[in-house]
Amino acid sequence: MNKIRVSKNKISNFDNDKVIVEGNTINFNYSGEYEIEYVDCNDIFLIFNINGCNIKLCESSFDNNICIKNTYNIKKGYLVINKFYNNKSVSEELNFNLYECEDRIDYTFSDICLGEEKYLININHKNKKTISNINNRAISLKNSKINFIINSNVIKEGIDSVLNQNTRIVTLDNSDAKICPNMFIDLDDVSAKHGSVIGTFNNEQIFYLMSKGISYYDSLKLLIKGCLLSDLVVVADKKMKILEIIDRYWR
Amino acid sequence: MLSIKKLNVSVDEKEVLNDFNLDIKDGSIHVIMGPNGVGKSTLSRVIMGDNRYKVTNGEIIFADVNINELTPDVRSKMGIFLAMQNPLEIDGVSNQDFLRTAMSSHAGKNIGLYDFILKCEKASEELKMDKSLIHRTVNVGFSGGEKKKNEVLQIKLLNPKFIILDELDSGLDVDSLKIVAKNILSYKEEKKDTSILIITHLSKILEYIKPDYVHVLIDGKLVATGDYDLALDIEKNGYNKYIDMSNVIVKE
Repeated sequence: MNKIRVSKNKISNFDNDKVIVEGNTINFNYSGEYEIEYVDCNDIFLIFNINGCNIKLCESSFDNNICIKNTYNIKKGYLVINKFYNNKSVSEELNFNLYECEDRIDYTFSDICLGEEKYLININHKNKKTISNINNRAISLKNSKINFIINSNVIKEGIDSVLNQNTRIVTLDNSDAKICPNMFIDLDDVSAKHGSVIGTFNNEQIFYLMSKGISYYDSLKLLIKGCLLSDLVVVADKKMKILEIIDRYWR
Repeated sequence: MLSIKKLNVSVDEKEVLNDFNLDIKDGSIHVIMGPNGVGKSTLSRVIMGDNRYKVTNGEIIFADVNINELTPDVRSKMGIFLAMQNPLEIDGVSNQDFLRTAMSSHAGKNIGLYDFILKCEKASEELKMDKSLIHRTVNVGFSGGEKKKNEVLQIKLLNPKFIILDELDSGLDVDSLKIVAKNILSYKEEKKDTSILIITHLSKILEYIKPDYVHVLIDGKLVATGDYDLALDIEKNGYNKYIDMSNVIVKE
């Protein structure tokens, strides 16, 4: 997988003739898979243009105090994002613009929240038969705060579009979590659904696992791994890193 | 193996087991029968250590150790296994990850992937289980029979000394019940000291796993004990006689 490194808020030199980087804009004109890692970043503003191709992005950020405003413009394309965060703090705004008929975004995000995190996700369906699947999974640790605002917007031209939002926050110890799922739909012929869940793990599940000899902490760890990793598609070394992080918190 | 003495258990301040006594010797097979809602499944969960149930009096002794205060994982590692009536679906957790973690926990060391696969494949073949179930999410999308087979697979992998089968036959078709029963019997044949407590309200499963003792539980108390003939009597005449018996005990 090609790696695009964003270091100290700038895109590092990237040697791939299929991708054109102009300042803070990344243009994809050919299908492919790319890994984007934010290193030592605190203020990022990127524009991704997906033009007539299928792109898979695997994004990650670790140990940053990060402020992100990214825009993903999809024109005759299909974008899949799998993303994992474990940062000190996050303030993020994402804008997904689906311009052409049948454009699609599948967004899967997993997060271990330590401090204060705010996410604003805007999905703009600007044409007919556009599809958005937005999945967020977060584990919020003691004294952390996490807030998701997700706005799906469909204008009159977005006939037969499909909108899915699914967000689950598992709160551990005294943490503060909020989800605002909004769907602003300006016509009737749209399929839309959302599910938003905030809560702890089910005690029955923990009893079931413990009754098979698994300690409380290992049971919790299994459930956390399941919550964060079951839908996330990442390369093996990234998965190893995520497992190491989970092991670090739930030793 | 297991001795329960003068056990009183309550949940939400309601008494569900009352002065309950039971002795299970090494290698014996006991059955607790009773109509729905008399405390059969409660008993299995109390033995396993479900903290929703409060033991207000009495003791549970397993392998000469009072286990009242022990957590479910410790009880499991001591050799108690509960095959639940409705095995839970655990979204996101792969069966493989779950089984390997449980085996490693029991062994006190990390079980290697190769060892795990070998043991798992052998056990699932014996149970005529679809091999793909190992790679799927724990019990999610499993049929009733597959869930029960998955519980028996765990028995074969975790090697318990005392097995509680809570309504094992519910959700199993005749062929699956035969396979499951055959596997449990061959496990017991291999490990002769293993004791089994079968909890059921129907005697169908007892055609395959013959018990040494049959007890009737009504309103949290054992009201009758006998052998397999007692189960046959219940099959023929129902529980009314024993419910009346329980009322006499309460009046006394």
